[in-house]
Amino acid sequence: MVVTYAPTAHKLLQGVFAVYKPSGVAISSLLREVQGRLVQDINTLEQRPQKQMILFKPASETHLTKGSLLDCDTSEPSNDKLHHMVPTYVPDWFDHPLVQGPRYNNDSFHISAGHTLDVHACGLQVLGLQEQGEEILQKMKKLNLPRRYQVKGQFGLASLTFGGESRIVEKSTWDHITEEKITRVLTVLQGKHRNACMEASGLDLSSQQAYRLASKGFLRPYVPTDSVIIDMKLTSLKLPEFILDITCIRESCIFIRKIIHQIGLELRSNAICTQLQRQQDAVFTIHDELTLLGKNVNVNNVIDSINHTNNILRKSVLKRKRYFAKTSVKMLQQNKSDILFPEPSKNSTSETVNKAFDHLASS
Amino acid sequence: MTNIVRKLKKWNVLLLCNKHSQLNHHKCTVYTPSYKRTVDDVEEKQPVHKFIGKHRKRVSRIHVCGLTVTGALGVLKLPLPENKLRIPPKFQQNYPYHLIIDDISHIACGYGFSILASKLKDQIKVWGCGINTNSQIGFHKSRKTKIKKGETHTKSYQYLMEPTPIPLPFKDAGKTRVIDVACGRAHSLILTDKEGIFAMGNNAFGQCGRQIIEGEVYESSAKVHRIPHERFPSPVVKVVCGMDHSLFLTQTGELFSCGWSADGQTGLGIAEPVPEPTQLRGDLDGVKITQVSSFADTSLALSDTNDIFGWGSSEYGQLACVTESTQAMLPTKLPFDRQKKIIQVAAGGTACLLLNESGDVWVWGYGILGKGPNLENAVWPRRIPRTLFGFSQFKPDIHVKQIKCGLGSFSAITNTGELYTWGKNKSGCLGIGSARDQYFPWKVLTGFEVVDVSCGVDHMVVKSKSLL
Repeated sequence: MVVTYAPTAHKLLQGVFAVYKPSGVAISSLLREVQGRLVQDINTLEQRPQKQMILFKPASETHLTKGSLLDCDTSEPSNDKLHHMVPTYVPDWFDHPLVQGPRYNNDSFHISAGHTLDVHACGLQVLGLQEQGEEILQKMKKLNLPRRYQVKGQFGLASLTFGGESRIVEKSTWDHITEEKITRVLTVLQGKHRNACMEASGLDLSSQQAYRLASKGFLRPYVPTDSVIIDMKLTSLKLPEFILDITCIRESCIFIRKIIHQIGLELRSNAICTQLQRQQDAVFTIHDELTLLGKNVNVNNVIDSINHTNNILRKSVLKRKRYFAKTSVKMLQQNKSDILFPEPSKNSTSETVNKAFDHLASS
Repeated sequence: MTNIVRKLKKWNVLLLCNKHSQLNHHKCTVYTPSYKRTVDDVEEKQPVHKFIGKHRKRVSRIHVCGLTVTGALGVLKLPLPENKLRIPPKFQQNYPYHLIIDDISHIACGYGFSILASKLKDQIKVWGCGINTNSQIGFHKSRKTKIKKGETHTKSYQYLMEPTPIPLPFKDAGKTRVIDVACGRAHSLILTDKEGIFAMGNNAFGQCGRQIIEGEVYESSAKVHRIPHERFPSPVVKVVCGMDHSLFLTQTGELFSCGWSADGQTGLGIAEPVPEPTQLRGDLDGVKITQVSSFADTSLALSDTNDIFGWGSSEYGQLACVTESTQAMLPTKLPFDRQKKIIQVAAGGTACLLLNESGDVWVWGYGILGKGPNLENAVWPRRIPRTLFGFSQFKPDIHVKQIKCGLGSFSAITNTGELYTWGKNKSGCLGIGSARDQYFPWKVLTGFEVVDVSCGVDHMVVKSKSLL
C-alpha cells in the first residue's frame, strides 16, 4: 500500500525500524540523515489543503452560490445588497507553503536509536520514530535479547584500541595457528560466560524452576550484569585473517574488540579487529528486505518496515518465556506497579505472558 | 575534497553538518577521515616477536579440587600455609587447582587419597598422596620417629601431603609400564603390563587378593602383594576397586573378583569374604565383558552384546528393576530397553550412570541425580537433557564422551573437552567454585581441554591438556 497523503503518512510514521549503518559514520550523523531524508520525502507528497478563513463581505461582492455561509433570500431589494454583510470562506494566505515554508521539518520527526554502534563499526541499527518508537526501544532494552556480530580480524598485530585504526603496538608470528587451536580457545573462553549467564538469571540454582528453564535453554541474564557471550564460532580462516560469529547480550563494540585481542593472546600471538558488523539485533536481521540502506529511506519504505516489525516483534517476543528474580517478586508486592511483568503463578501459562506483551504491542 | 565527496556519494551516504541540517539544505557533505590503516615508518621498524613455535607439543596438566586436609590433593600449602598471618589456611578447594607434576597418564581417587601413575619406563612409576593409615599408598619411612641402634624402622607416615613416589617391588622396572590404577576405601591396585598387579593396603576382607591374616596390623605395613598375569586365563586389562572389593577384567572378557561379599559385591553368590580372585558366573557365563565400573558396593558391567549386568548392594534402588531385596548376590542382566549402542556404564555410591552412542546420559538410583531437586529417586533410567551439557541451536555437535561417578558426585566430559559435574558437593569436590550442591550439570572452569577425570568421596582429580 502506497501512501500519498502526507498527514496519514505522518501518523503512520510511529514505531521501530532497522537501518544499515555504514562504518565511518557517527550515530548522530545517521540520525540526522534519516531525519533529513524523511523530511525531504514527506514534503513531496500531497499536503493538506490550504486553510480557509472566514471573512464578512458585502453580499454584492460575493456570488451567493459560491462560498457563502448563509442562504440569503435573493428577493431582497437591490439597494440593500450593498450594505448586507455575509460570512464567506476565503483562502488563508498565511497558511501557504511559500509563506510558511515546507509543512514538515526536522522537529516533526523525533528519532531515537536502540543499542548504538561505534563510529567504526557497521551493520544493523535499530531506530525509533516519535514517542511510541522510543518507548518500544526502552522496553526492548530491558528484555536483554541477544545480538549477533560478524567480526573480521587479523592475527599478528596488536593495536592501542584493539582495532585497525590506531597505532600498532606489537607484532608477532602467527603461522602456528590452526582451526583446531582456535576452536579450543573459543570453548574455554566461553565457559566463564556460560556460567555467568546462568547465574545472572537471578533464580536460585537449587530450585526446580532453574532446572526446568536450564534444560530448555531459557536460563538467560535477567538482573543487570556485565556483557555476556552466548556463542562464538569460527566461520573462516585464511591466515592471517579470520572471521568470527559472536552472539552476545549487553555488549559494547569495545568489548567485542577486546575479546578478539584476548583470543590473540591466548593463541600466543596478537589479534586486531579489522571489521565489526552487526548482523542481528533481537528480531531484526541484516538480510531482511526491510532493513533500509541510507538511499532507500523514504516515507513508504519506512512505513512498510514499521508494519513488518510490529508483526514480528509481537510474535517472537511472545514466544520468549519470562521468569523472575526473587527480588523482583518482592518489589512487585511492595510497589504494586509496573504491570509489564506477568504475575508469578504455579501454572504460568501463555495467558499471563500474552497480557504483558499486549501492553507492549498496543502501545 | 572533491574526491572524497564523490566517494561518499557513491556509497550513498549523505552527511550534513549541524548548520545545514537545521536549514534543511541537502547540499553540504562533511568530511570524515577514513580509518583505513596506513603503514607508517614506526610500525615498519617494529620487531616481530615469536612467542611459540609451530611444532610445540601439548603439555598435560593435573588439576585437583576438594578437601585439602587429608592431603588427597597433594598440595601442602593449602591447609598449612607457610605464612599463616598473610595467607589463611584453606580447608576446601572449591575450584580446580593446578598440581605441578609432569608426565602423568593414569589417575585414580580413593577414599581420601589419590594415586597418579605415569606410563614411562622409569624406576619411579607411581606417586601417591593422602591418607596412609592402612598403608594404601605404601611404606614411607617416617623421619620424625627416632630409632635406637639395631632396631628396624617400623614407622611410616600416616598422611602424605604431597605426591611421593611409591616403592614397588619390580623385578625389572625398566621393562614394564603401568596400564591402570584403581583405589578403594583402604586399598589400591596398580596394573602393569608384564609384572602383573601390585596390591597394597587393607586386606581384612581379602580385597588385596591374598589370604586374610587374623589380627594383621595394616598401619606402617610394607607388604605389597603381587598377582601375576599367569594366574588368570589371559592377561588382565583393567582393574576396578569398589569400597572393600576388587574386580579384574581380562583380555578375553572374563571377570574376576575378590574381597568383601556381605552385600554381594563380589557377585559370587556367597556372603563370606573371598581372598583369592575368582571368576564371576551367574548371567555373565560365556559373555565377553568390555567395561566394568564400581565405586562403593554396587558394580555394573557392560558386555560385547550391548547388555548391562549389575550386582551388589541395591540399598538405594540401583538394582530395583531386577530385585526387591537390598542386594543382588549374583550378576543379573538389567532389562533396559537398549535401542542404541551403550558405550559406558558408571556405578556410584547411591546412583548409576549410563552413556550411549549418541552422547546421551541416563541416570537412575537415589540422591541428587541431576534432573533438578524434585527428582530424588528413579528405578528406571532417566535421560539428562543435552542442553545442560552445552547443546544449543548454535552448537548442535556437542555430546558426552565419558562419564565417571564418585560417592555422591557425578562428572561427564564432552567431545569438546568440557567438564560438567553435578551431585552432592562434599567439601567442594565438584570444582564449581562454591560449596553449594549442584542439582543439574554445571561446567567446571579449568581453562584447559579436559581429557580424564576421577571422582572420590570428597575430592576430584582432573587430567587435562594445554590448548596449544
